[in-house]
Amino acid sequence: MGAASDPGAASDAARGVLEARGITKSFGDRLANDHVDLTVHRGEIRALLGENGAGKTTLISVLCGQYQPDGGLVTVHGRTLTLGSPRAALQAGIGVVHQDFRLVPRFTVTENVVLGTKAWGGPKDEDTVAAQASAAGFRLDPRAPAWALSVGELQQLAILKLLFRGLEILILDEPTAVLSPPQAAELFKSMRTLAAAGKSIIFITHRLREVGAVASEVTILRQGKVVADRAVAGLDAQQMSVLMIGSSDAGGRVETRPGAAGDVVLRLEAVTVEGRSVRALDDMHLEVRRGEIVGVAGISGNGQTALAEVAAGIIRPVSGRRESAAAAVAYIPEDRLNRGLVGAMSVTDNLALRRYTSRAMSHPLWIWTDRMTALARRLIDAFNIPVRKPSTRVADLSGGGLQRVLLARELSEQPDLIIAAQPTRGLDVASAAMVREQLVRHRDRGAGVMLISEDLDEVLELSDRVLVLFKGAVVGEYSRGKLNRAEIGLRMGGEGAA
Amino acid sequence: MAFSIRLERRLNAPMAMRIAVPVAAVAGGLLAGGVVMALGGHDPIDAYGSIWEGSLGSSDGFQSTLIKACPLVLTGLAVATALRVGLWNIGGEGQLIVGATAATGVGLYAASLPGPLLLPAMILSGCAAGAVWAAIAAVPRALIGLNEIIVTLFMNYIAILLMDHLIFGPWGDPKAFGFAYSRPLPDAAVLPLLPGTYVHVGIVIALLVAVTAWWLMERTPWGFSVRVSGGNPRTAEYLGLRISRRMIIVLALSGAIAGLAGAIELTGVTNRLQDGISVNYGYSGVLIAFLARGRLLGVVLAAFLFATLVVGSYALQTTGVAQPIATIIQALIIVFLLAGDAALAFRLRITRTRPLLEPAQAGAG
Ligand SMILES: Nc1ncnc2c1ncn2[C@@H]1O[C@H](COP(=O)(O)OP(=O)(O)OP(=O)(O)O)[C@@H](O)[C@H]1O
Ligand SMILES: [Mg+2]
Repeated sequence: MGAASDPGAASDAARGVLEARGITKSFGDRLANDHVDLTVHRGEIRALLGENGAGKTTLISVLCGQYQPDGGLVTVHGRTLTLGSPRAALQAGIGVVHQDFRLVPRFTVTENVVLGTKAWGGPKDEDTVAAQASAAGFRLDPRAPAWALSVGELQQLAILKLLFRGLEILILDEPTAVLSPPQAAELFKSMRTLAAAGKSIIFITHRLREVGAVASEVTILRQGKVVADRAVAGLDAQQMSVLMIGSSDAGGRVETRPGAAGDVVLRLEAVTVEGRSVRALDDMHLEVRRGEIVGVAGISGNGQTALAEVAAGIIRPVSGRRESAAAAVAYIPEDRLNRGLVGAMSVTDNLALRRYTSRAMSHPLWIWTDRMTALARRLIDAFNIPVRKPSTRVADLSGGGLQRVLLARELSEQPDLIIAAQPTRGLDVASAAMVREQLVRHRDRGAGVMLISEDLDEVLELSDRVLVLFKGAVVGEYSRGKLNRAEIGLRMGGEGAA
Repeated sequence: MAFSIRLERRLNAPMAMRIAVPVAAVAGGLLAGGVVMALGGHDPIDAYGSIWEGSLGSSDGFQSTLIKACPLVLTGLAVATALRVGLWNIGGEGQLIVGATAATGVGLYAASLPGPLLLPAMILSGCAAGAVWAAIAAVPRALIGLNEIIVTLFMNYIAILLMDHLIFGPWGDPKAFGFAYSRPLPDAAVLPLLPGTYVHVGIVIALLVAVTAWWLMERTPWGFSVRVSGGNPRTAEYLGLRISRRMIIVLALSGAIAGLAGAIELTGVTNRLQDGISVNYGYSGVLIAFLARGRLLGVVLAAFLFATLVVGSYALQTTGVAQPIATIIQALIIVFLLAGDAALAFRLRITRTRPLLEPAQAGAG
């Protein structure tokens, strides 16, 4: 496959700013990157695609010096990069925005930006930061504390950190996973501005629509190998997903017959939850019936987390009531690793978190660990969790791997009520389709489902009823058949008469 | 051509390495210690001969090692147990001391209890006192998040003062002229020996506690829930587990284990409460749990190794090597073991910074 990536003439102009050749990295017996080649040119936006566990994060961790590859070579401007050294990567101009941003909440924007450089964040730095922010099209107050920023703004701040260091090659790992569509559109505008100014950008996504929207080139990984390296033009989402999966049975739209709503399984009455500065939920009324999917649309930060946690019965509202007739509740939280999994424990243990007290697994004096392992093997198979050994620590899984562990555990039983917060975020197309199918299957079985999602398409596709959440209150309710995409979009932004 | 050397996290060290590295670490420590001794004017071969003789190489030495291992196994277990719920119990020292103190109180004031009842009563009161002492740190930690490391540490000083107050005051031995001794305990308060040895049964108790702790934490549903709470409190909350209750119970259990160590030292070794009842056993327990990487059964091994070193260095001192040198050798071996541990978790990579492929070649494909 080496010959497939012939970059043509070796002249300086044609040579990529960054060229990686034959990158190979294994974890134990798992080959996460298998002779991967990647070239990025000046001013280019390159999408990096692949299923969960395909090796995307591993590849960029090699590029930014976090992992030492087992083999391969990286050159930047024709000069060989010392691999496995984060400092060398920074000096060569390579910077990464990780999905979790890694910022200090109590620091201001400027302080976060200068952290780790020789600058100390004085007025002059504030001016520089402000200038760089506006040049990139970011609306950021250099003196605002990081904790007061929205996710979209945090992302801008994380990018600003790289710009301040004068880095030229910006790598963004699933930057849009946490953004609403308008925030993502804004990010794309900035990315184009930066590319026009000569920066090179590698960006990872699972949303194939975004590839066409912002990238000019695309590299696709499948099981650690490059299966495509070409221009985006002339490639549609269908073709991309075929390349990613290696066959054409990419899960598409889920068949969406309406559900038959039955008894009420969850009722929230006048629920109020305090937030940091404003009320997270303000006098919320809501019902979920058996056999229906209630979609909650809204831009993140409008009370979604509080709603999910109250609905799942984890936090108590300061006032109001939660009534639930459900014997078993499944809850898929938004922040999986921090709420829902135990990173230092094995996949087996994590899959058993809801069942280790059941008769089948234990009695009060003994846990049958072999039965837990058997359950784990079954679920790893059924949910295609990308892991070899059930004894692997959950923290070592890929982003999508974590997600599947959680989904496998929560959806493999027979819950009466399912609270799913951003259940497909970070999943590749096929897995996202699988999750949607599961939700519909559980609804048809008679479970009540609350689907909280920023992905309006997903909400519209699956829901029997859609509620719009804005500033902690329901500002619109639509039943299936009376869905009005434009109006819902307006309501999500707080506009449109009630 | 340049080389660069760096550390990288290793995923799974092969089994052979996991055995070879600690062995090599001990050997390295001994070698370095030999240099220290040679510098101090002692023959290292002789010195090591006496360490071996004094710790493992003779029946007497081995018995001393077993006696020494008993409190170390227990204090190591105390720390490793608390780690299961995510807490650092640095207060093993104090819990051990109050355990010994409470057992002494029972021994002195309930001396009229029939023989077979007196010992169990003393030991149980030692456990209870250790548990209470730890709970004093656990409750504010569980309820308001007050740092348990600081509180358990401070409680050590209070425990020492409390013991000193009693042995210099009301419990003091008038015949011990100014020595920090309590009155001796009645004969019925002495722990029996293993048949045919002068090793008290404490080591058997300690091993039973190790197995029980392993079973409770690693093989019961409750222990599982404890590990979940320690591993990620937010997930424990998500599952509806009551974390604060588990913190209090586990830290109290941890204190009870350290308190047991105190009661056993008292009834098995000193037979009266005295200032030196703990030779930093509580703090050594932290190191032992660390060496064992928090594993409960690993604690037993680490504690035996530690006991061997301590007893060996006593033997060394009887041959005329100054105590500081003996202590340095002990410390060297531990430092080497810790370094070996790091070597297992990471690996050194030496890479040529010159490319295998010339850039021009790479460009030309
Ligand atoms: N630190 C690690 N230890 C062990 N295995 C790892 C580690 N990091 C990644 N892996 C494994 O390597 C494979 C590739 O993981 P990687 O994180 O690169 O996937 P990814 O393409 O980013 O997937 P996702 O879309 O789910 O984030 C996975 O099977 C993963 O389990
Ligand atoms: Mg990833």
